[in-house]
Amino acid sequence: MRRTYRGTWALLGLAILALTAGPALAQKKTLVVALNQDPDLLDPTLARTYVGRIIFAHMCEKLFDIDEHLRIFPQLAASMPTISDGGKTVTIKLRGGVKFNDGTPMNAEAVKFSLDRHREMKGSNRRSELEPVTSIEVVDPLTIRLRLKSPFSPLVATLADRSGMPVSPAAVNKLGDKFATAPVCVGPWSFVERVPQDRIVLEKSTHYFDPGQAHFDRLVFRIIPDDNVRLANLRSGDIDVMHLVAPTDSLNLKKEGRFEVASVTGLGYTGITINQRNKTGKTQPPGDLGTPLANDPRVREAFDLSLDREAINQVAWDGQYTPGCTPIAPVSPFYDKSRKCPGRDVAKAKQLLAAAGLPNGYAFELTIVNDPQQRRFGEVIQGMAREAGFNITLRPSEFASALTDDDNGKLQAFAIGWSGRVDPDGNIHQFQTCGGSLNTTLVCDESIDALLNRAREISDQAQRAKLYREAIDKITGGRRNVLYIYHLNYILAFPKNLKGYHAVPDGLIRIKGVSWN
Amino acid sequence: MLDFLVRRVAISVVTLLVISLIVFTGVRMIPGDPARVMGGTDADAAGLAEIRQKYGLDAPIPVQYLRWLGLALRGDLGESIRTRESVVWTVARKLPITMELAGLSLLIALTIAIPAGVFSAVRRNTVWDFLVNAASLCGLSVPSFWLGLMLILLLSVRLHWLPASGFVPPWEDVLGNLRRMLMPAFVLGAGLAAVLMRQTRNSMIEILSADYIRTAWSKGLAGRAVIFRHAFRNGLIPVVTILGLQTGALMGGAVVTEQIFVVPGFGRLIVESVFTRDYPLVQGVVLITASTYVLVNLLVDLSYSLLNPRIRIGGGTGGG
Amino acid sequence: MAGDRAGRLWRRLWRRPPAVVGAVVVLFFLGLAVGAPWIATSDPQRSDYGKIRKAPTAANPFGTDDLGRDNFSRVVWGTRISMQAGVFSILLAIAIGVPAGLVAGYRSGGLVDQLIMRLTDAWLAFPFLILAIGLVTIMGASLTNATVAIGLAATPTYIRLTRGLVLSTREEDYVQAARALGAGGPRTILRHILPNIVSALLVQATVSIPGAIIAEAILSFLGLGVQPPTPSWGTMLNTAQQFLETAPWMAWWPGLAIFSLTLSFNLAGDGLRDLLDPRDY
Repeated sequence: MRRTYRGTWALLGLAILALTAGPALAQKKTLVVALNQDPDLLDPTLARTYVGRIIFAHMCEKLFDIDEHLRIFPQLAASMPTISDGGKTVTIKLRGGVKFNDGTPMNAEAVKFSLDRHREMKGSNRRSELEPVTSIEVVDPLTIRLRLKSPFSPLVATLADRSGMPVSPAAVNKLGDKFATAPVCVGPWSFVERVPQDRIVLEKSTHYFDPGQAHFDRLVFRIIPDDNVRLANLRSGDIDVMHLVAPTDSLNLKKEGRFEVASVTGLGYTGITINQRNKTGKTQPPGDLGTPLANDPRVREAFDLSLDREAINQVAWDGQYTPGCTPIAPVSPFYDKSRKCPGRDVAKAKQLLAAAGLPNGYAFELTIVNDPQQRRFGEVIQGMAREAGFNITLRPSEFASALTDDDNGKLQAFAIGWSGRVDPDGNIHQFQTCGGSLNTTLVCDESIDALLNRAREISDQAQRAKLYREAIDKITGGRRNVLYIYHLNYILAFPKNLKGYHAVPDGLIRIKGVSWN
Repeated sequence: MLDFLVRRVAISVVTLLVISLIVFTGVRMIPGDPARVMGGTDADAAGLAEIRQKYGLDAPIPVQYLRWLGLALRGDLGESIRTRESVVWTVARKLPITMELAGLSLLIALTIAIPAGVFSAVRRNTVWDFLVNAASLCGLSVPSFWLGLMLILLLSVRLHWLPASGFVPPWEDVLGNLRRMLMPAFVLGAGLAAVLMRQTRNSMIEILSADYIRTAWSKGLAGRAVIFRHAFRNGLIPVVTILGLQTGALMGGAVVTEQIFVVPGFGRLIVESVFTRDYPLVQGVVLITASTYVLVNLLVDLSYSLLNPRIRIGGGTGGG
Repeated sequence: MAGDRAGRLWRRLWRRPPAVVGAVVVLFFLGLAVGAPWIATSDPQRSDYGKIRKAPTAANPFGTDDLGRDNFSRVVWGTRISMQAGVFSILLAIAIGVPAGLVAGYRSGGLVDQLIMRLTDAWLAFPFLILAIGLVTIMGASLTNATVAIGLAATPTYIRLTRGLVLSTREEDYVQAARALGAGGPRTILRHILPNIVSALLVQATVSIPGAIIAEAILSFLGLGVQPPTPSWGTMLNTAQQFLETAPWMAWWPGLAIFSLTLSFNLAGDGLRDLLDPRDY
């Protein structure tokens, strides 16, 4: 009996030794990228998530793309488009010799098919983006022409995103609305498999027109929502590239010196959206919410004045993000460098509250997305606003349901951001115009609409910038349905011997052209 | 014996029906409109009506329940809203992972608990007993998520002995799979071991002081033979009971452990589906979890008769 | 007679140091919870932006957290949350479970019993944590809802316990005898069960409460329990996760607090169980 006892223990010990002494695999030909969220459907027509766009960057290229300086350049198009007929006709020449990842050719017919699908398919989330387009024609096998109902200068920028991604008609015809289970587009890598909430695997495409750009045989995108675990994986070498390094970790990583930490200020913004007239749903008529926050601009101004944007950035983000008070990204040529953000003024805030009939303070609910970063953000705001007399209750909510609640008018205030678009129109129009598809606060001001509509029709940059400045002044100094607080910096970490990475302000990871030293 | 079997199975069936009712109504009570979740932010009234019709959400609740139950019995649990993948397929892919985790935890727990429990029962009231008891108490009291984080910090980040997280299927790389499962299985197993250790000790003590054991001893049978031939078999009964009951705790414990160690298993699936309001997935997953528990306990009850013929006669308190 | 028995129990308790230690520590935490306003050295919600994630010093014996708040005060105030959640949830479970178990046991074999038992079986089939998560999702995330959810999830254990006690008490000789004499109605059974129930419930509670405390910590850890800025050990651990390397003290103290409170309940429970074990008579 004693012998077998000892034997068992010895065996156990050996087993443990074997397991812990296992060799660390050197994954040179496969690059492992860790994302913080699982993308939704991998179908450019239906997709809605930012992380999905990262996957698309590798397997679904688009007509145009942007570089680090936010300049648009042709990717699947052969050149920049020709605009004629007062801006109402856009002619795009396509690159020749391009094949989808199933071998079928990408020609004008296929691109028209794809764009029509984005415009017309039931449930398409690209419809509002391509709304100004009335028809698409095939001019010749490598040229398409888009006809618009009115001039729309953000169009090319829109085609530098999902709306400009051609999909293989053969694959669509085979899979229908299950295209997302085996998507086929044009890309240096092609889709292999997906395990929901675990990984997405791409492998080097044999059909791509510029194969030298893909230095890895396989790309594995692993989904690791927990910041801590993602970081631990980076440190232990289980992943190569870490997406969205928490700002509080990035300083540490930089100090450590083992990894390259690339930070770029994004195209988007994060702020607090304050519901003003949405009572029963964003597609329903506006109603009176009956609260001082919704009805009295002095209360909103007081709230604005109770916040110290610089301090928020320091405390919540270790100074790693970019404080701001405008929806336009600092890196954009339309950014107003002369704009000064309101500083903190607790005394004035208290005065305003008193003038609004609330000398003893005011309580409301702020909904935040349930992740550690946003929780900290919420708590800092809560603490700051308390001194001015605001008693804020934080209500963490899961992202998708919070969006739904926001649409349905259930939220008083919502700390939410927008990942941002290249053209400033993409950051303002849908949110701030009467009837805008993402205007969940249901505010409506004809004069602001006029400014924003004019800005999307003309193409002169200086003139557009002036119009946006006026509009934003009215929004941030007047109705304050959105308090813009900061711009997210996309922080990426990877081993020092990974070369060729360029951080683009849209925050998308691009492995094309990247290789080991 | 047959009578007992039939009774036991019938009870399980009723329990399963009640479970299905609870799951269905529970999911319906989650705030939020499933049609809106499926439709997304761009859906308008007409689109929502279409979705309601397609998924039968406009029918009265009892009808919806029966429809769902009928499909479920035929093996169709619907589609995940997020990935449009069949619920059954998603589960079929994730369940084995959690089963492997649970199995390894059980292995670790039993390897620690049974010898420790028997040892401390035999060396009752000595220093060894005290130490084992202390270890078991610590195992019961330590919060598993804290233990998990500490282990990651020590074994992955500082010492680089084990990978921090993830999952590699065993048919791809057995060693890699086991290396990644070791920490989560240990975290889960530690809590289980603590419970089993005490139970083993207690039931062994009871048995050892029982009459028929004393008789065997007095008959001159060697000490160890007595323990392992007579006491063990009977001592195992309460342990097996606990195991059955602990299946639930294992599944639940797997939730947090899988979050921390990023194991794409069942526990994580449950949390994610609840958080993302993926109603068909939540329904299917919770139904399967609860049903598994009922079936495991049914097997446990039936296995009693193998371990102790006296129980075959049925009756007794509790459970039935 | 009763005094004599109490004396014997008391003396036996003292002979088991671990149980005494456990009981003392539980009382200590109880004292912390009640006396939090006076024991905490500063306002647990007041941020000092100049002192973010500072290591322990005399002014901040447990260090500060990521918003510059004093960890010591937060741990002390967090005791209230954990004790509340732990105790009240189990009280709820007892309040629902015991009457249900009594009814089921008394009407054993009948339809009511079957109904209650099947419901209990089904309820028990859901893993405790998943049940709690589901309930909180339905009710909304808050401390109260988390407490209620944990209590509801713990209820079936008490139903079963009580029912089992009723059944075994009925088999007792003296109850059989009483029945033969014409008594033995519900009031009789109740009178005989009561002393047993109280001790059995106490023992079970000392097992359930630590589980409830950990459950609240897990729910808060997942963001489903206590909402900011109220300090809870679970939320503190959640935040501490991100700073394990740079500010490990943020994780030590709340983790240690959960561990010691849970451990002491278990120790005290062990002692209580041995104490009330009939075999020792």
